[in-house]
Amino acid sequence: MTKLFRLLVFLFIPGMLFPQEHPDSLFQRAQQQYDAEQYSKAVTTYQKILNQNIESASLHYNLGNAYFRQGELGEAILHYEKAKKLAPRDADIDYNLQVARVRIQDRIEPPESSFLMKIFNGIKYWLTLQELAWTTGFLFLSGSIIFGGWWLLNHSRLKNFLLYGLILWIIGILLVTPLLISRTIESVKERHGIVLSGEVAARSGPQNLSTEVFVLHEGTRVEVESIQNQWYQIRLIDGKEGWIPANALGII
Amino acid sequence: MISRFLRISLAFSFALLLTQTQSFADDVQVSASVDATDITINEQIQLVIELENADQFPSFNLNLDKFAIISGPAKSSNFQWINGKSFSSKKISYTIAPLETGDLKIGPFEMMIDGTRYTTNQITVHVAKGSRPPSASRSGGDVSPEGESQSSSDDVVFIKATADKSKAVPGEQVTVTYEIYTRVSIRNYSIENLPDAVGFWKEDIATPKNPKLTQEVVNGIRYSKATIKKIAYFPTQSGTLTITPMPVVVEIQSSRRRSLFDDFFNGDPFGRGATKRLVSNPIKIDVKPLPTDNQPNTFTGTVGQFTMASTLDTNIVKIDEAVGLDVTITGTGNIPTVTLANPEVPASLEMFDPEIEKSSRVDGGKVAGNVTYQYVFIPRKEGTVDLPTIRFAYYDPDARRYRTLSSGTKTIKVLPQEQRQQITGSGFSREEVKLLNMDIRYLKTNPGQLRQAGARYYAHWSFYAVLLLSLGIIGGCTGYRYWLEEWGQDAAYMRRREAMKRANQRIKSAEAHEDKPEYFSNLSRAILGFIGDKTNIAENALQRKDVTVLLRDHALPDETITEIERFLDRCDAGRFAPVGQDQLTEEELVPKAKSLIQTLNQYL
Repeated sequence: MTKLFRLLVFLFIPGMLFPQEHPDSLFQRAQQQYDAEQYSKAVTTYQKILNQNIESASLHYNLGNAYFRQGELGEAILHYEKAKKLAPRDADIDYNLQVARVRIQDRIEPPESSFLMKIFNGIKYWLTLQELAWTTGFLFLSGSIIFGGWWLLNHSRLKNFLLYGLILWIIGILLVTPLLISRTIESVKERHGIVLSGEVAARSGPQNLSTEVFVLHEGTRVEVESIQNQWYQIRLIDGKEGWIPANALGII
Repeated sequence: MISRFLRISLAFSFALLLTQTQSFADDVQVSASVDATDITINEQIQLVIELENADQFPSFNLNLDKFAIISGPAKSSNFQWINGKSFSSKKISYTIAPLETGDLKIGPFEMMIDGTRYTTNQITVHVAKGSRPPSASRSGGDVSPEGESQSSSDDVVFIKATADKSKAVPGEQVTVTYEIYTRVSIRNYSIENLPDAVGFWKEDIATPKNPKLTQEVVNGIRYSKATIKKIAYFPTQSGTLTITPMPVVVEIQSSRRRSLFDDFFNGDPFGRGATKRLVSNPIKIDVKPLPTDNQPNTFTGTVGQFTMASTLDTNIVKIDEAVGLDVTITGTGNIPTVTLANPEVPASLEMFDPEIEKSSRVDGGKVAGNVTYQYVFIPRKEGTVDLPTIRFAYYDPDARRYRTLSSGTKTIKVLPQEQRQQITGSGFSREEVKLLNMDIRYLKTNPGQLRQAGARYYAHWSFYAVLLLSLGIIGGCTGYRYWLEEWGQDAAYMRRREAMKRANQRIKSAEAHEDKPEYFSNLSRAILGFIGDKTNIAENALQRKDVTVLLRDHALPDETITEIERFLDRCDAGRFAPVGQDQLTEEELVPKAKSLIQTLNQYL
C-alpha cells in the first residue's frame, strides 16, 4: 500500500510542480503563431507537444509545414514522412511531401519498379501498422465467432450461409496475417532517415579520416543499415552506401 | 615489269655462278690496312678490310676498344676478268679515330667465309700527342694528352672538345663546346656527323653561322680559334659514359702562294685547297646516380633549377561551374621530363585531365623552357573548398639536393546553384515542374488522436487479448461441440441433468396458474417428473402406486415417502375435490414442492 502511494506521489508530484500545458491548447497556439508567420515559435510550440511523448499525424504535418516555411527542408520532409507513417491515406500530407521533395538537391534515380509492384506496395502501405494489427485482430475475433456459430447451430440453411462466411474470413486472415508479420519485421528492421544538414559527405567508414564517397544534401531519404559510434551506415535507393555522422540524419 | 627484272637478275646470277665455280680454285685472302700508322690523337684514319675472292661480305665483330668508329662500314666490290682469270675483291672501310695515345693495335679480326675461319693481320698505329692544350684534359681525363705536347707539322689545325663538367647526375646538362684551332686560314669546314653519344639525350645549341675568330696561344704557338658546335648532353643513365669524337672535314687555304703557276700546279686548280679529315677528342663523363635519400615521391627525374607559378582564374564559383588552375614550371634543365602527378581530389570536387603545354629553348647556353598544366576543377559542394595542392619535385645539381615546389593551398568559395525554380530542364518531369511553383497546403486545425509516440501494437496487451479471446471462442465452441457429441447420446444422463431445471420450470408455470386446475397438476408433475427424470422412467409410465416402491428402493426414509404421498394426494385432491382442514393450503404447496425436490435430489 505504501509502495503504491509512493509510486503515485512519484508520478504526480512533478506534474503538479511543472504543470504541462494541455496539448490541445498548445496546438491552437502554434496555429496562431503560424498564422502570424512566427514559424520558429510555431515549431517550438509543436515540439512542446511532441516532448510530452505524444504524437499524431496532424501534429507532424503541421510541424512539417512550419519547418517548410522556415526553409528547413530536411526537417519538413522528416515530419511529413512521420505524419505519412501515421496517416498513409491523407492527401494533404502526400501533397506537401511532394512539394517539399521537388525542392531537394539530390535527384537520385530510383531503380525501375513495375506497375504490379506499385499496386502491391500501394496495398501493402494503405493501412498503418496499427490499423493492420486491429484489422487482423478483428478478423480473428469475428472469424472465431462465425466458426462457433457454424459449429454449434443445427439450423442447416443458416449453417451453410455461415460456412461461406467462414471461408471468406479465412481467406482474409491468410492475406492479412503475412502482411502484418512482414510489415512488423520491416518496422523493426528497416529504418529510414532524412538528411538534415545542408550537405554532408558520406564516407567509406565511420571516421572523419575515411575518404569521401559521395555528398548528400538536405532532404534526401536514405535507408539506415547500421549504427556505430555516432555514425550511421546508410544506403541510397540507387544502391550507393556510405557512413554519415548521426547528427546529420533524422530517423523517420 | 617485275618478271622482266627477275629474268635479268636470274641471268646475272647465272653468270655469277659461272665465275664463282672458277673462283673456288683461288684462295680467299683477308687483310686489314690503314691509310696512316703515325698520327696524332686529333686525326682520323681509314681502316680498310679487304677480302679477295670472297663471294660475300662476311659478318664479323669489329671490336675496336681504343678507337671510335666515326663512320662506316662502307662496302664496295670490285670484279675483274684478266686473261680468262677472275679477280674479285671486296672492301669494308671505316673511318676511325684514336681514343688514346701510344702504340695502338688494330685487330686481328676473325671472320667466317664459306665455313672457313680467316684472320686479318694486326696493325699497329702510333698515336702521338697532339698539340691540344692541356686544358682539354679537364673533360677527357686520362684520354686526352697531358702536359707539354710536341707540336707536329700536322698540328696546323685541330678540333678541341671541351665539356663544362666532368661529373654529372642523370638529367643534368653537360655542355660540350667544339672549337677549331688553326694556324692556317680555313676556307671551309663541315661536320660529317654528330658524335655518337650512347646514354645521352642531346640538344643542339645554336652557334653563329660565321664563327668569330679569337686568338689563343697554345704551347707558345698562336692559333686562331672558333667555336663550331655546341651540344647540350643530358645523361639518361649512370656510369662512365663516352661521347665519341666528332669528325670534321676542313679545307685549308694554301698559304704558300708564290706564283700563279705554283698555285696552279701544286695547289688546287680551282682554289679548293687541301682537305683534312679531323676528329675531336672524345669526352668521358662520370655520371653518378641520383641520391635515393630524401627523394620525394613526386620526383620524376627532372634536374635543374625551376620555379613554379600558379594562377587561379576565379575565387568564387557556383556549384557545377568550372575553376581553372594554371600551374607553370619555368627553369633550366631537362624540360621534357617535367611531369606533374595528378593530385588527390576530394569527393566535393571533380577534376578533368589537365592540358599540358611544353616549350623549350636555349637560353644562355642552357636548355630552358616552361611547362604549363591547365587544371579544371568542378565543385560539387557548397561552401569553402580547398583545391588540391600541386607539387613538383626536382633535383638541384648545384645545391646537390632535392627541392619540391608547391602551388600552395588555393581556397575557393562555392556558392549554391541558382534557384531551382529557374531550372525547367532535365531531371524534372512536367508534374514536378508544376509542383515547384506550388505552395504547401495549410495546417490541419484538428490535432487528431494524440497517441503515445512510437506506440507499437505488439507492445499493447489488447492485441494479445483479442487473439486469445478468439482462440478461446474457437476452443470453447469446439470443446462444447465435442462434449455434446460425447454425452448427447445418453438420454438417461441428459434427463438427470435436466431434471432440476424442468422441475423448477413446472413450479414456475404452476405459480402462473394460481386458482386453476393447472396449478395442482403442474406441481404434481414437477414432483413426478423429477422422480422420472432422475430414475429415467418415462413420465407416462410412472404410476402413482409405483412411486412408493421406487422411493423405497432408493432408500428414502419413510417419513419423506409419506410426505411425498401426502403432497401428491393433496394435489390430486386440489384438482378434483374441495380441500380438507388438515391439509396444506394452496400457498404452502409451492415451498413444499421445492423442499421436497431438494430432498429427493439428495437420494435419487
